[in-house]
Amino acid sequence: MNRWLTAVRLTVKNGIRYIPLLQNLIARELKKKYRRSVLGYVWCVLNPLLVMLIMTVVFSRMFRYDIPNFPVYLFAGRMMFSFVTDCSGGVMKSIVMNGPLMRKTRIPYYVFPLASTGSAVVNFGFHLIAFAIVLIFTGTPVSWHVIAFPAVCLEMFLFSFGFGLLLAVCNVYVRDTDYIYAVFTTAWLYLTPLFYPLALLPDTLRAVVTNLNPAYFFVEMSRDVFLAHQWPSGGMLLRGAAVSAVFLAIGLFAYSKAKKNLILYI
Amino acid sequence: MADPIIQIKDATVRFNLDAQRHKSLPEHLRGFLKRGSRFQEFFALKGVSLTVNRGESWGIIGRNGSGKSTLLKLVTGILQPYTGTVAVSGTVAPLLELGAGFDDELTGRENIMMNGLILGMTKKQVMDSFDDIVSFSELEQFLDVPVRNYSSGMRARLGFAVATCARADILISDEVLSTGDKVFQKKCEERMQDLLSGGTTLLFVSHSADAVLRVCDRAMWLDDGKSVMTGSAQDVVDAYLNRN
Ligand SMILES: Nc1ncnc2c1ncn2[C@@H]1O[C@H](COP(=O)(O)OP(=O)(O)OP(=O)(O)O)[C@@H](O)[C@H]1O
Ligand SMILES: [Mg+2]
Repeated sequence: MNRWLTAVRLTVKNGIRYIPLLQNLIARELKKKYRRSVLGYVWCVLNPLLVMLIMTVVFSRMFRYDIPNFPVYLFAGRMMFSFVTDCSGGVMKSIVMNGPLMRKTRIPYYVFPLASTGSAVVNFGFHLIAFAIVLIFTGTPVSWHVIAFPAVCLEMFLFSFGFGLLLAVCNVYVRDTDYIYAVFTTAWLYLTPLFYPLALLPDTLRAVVTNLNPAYFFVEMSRDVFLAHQWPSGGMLLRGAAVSAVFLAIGLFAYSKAKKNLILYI
Repeated sequence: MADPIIQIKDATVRFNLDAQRHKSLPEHLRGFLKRGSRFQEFFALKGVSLTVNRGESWGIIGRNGSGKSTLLKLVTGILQPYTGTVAVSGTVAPLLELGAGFDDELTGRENIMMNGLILGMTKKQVMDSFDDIVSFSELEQFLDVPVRNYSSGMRARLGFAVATCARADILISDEVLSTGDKVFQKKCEERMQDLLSGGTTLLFVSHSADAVLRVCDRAMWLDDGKSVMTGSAQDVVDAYLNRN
């Protein structure tokens, strides 16, 4: 136990030195993404808005699910879901992608997953700006229940980081992880009620989704806050906390077991 | 007087050649079922020992694939020894095999900052040395061009300039000068001499015997992962050149 604490203390002490590097790596990811476009960072906000607009038109004309305030329903859900998949997918690739750097310099490998998570969080911030625009245009009031939203986000960040870290380690050993994950997220997308109501699912599937689909926990809690103007349910908050704790633990465990050998497989 | 800054004792580095092959999932499964064939080991260093004292400059010579870069990675901490020990008591600025881990998409300016931070400098230190780095690498015109458009010599210049400004205790240089032109090589050697007289320790890998003799006072000859000879640079280089 004591040995473990010393290790943690050392890691934190070391880690503080790398905070400026971390900021730099996060800025790098954002810069590289938008540098060569004319509108640049405007895309960060514009892109989610346009996608939402198209989906709103498609789903309110073609399928009639009778969801009140559909644009907000859709945007809130999509914003949460795409954070989970973008962040965990980015973290998954981060270690393999930075292989050349790992082979030439000596920095703790964990800065790459952290930087990737950081840039996903920044991107999430842009989505929130776009979301605010949607709220204004649809005339949706904001109640003081939003103060619970940061807690929901924190759970989501931790879950996505932990899950991504586990995938990142798998990806070093078996590069197919990347492709398998792409297929997996497609299934995940359709199994998360983003553009259809939960009630549409058959009973058994609904039980699976509400209890075992982590992305859905965060989706539903965001809708509680922004759409239903109520506190996220205790059950969901608890599930979110549990799933983030479990995946964070598994991810960190896998990373700490593998870190010594990663360089040999990069 | 003797103040060892690097102590390598009987170090062995093992690679798993099997891990380096690009494998697909079916191959993995097959390998998993036939356990034996999963590990194909290869020793890049076989029981190498080396003690470097503070302020010394060591040349490491040997044929292609003899383990020179591997030895430097061991000192940098990128690789861990499979058996034996490596103790380094100081900061290391590594310059390994062409380019110091630059990001192709970023400009020279951004890479200077990134590289400095990676080498453990603070933002302020990088800013303070910025002009020095730029003038030394003679890349004023190209600062805002992505590094992907640099020639290999230009990358080497920039990498060398940043690494030597990091003021690390140990400078590691792995054939970095080979792509630079004569004028720049000379400039780099002068910079290394400056650092050496300031107390920096140098590990220098080069295929140019002359360069080793100019820069280093001690040398190690590696062959097939084993240390053949260590001693004064002159003796070791002579022996190496006269091998049959
Ligand atoms: N990651 C790796 N996996 C497997 N084998 C490796 C790895 N890195 C190096 N080797 C092997 O280790 C041996 C030593 O390589 P190293 O790069 O140290 O040689 P070197 O002396 O620097 O050669 P050169 O003069 O060509 O630069 C080589 O046979 C090489 O194939
Ligand atoms: Mg080499």
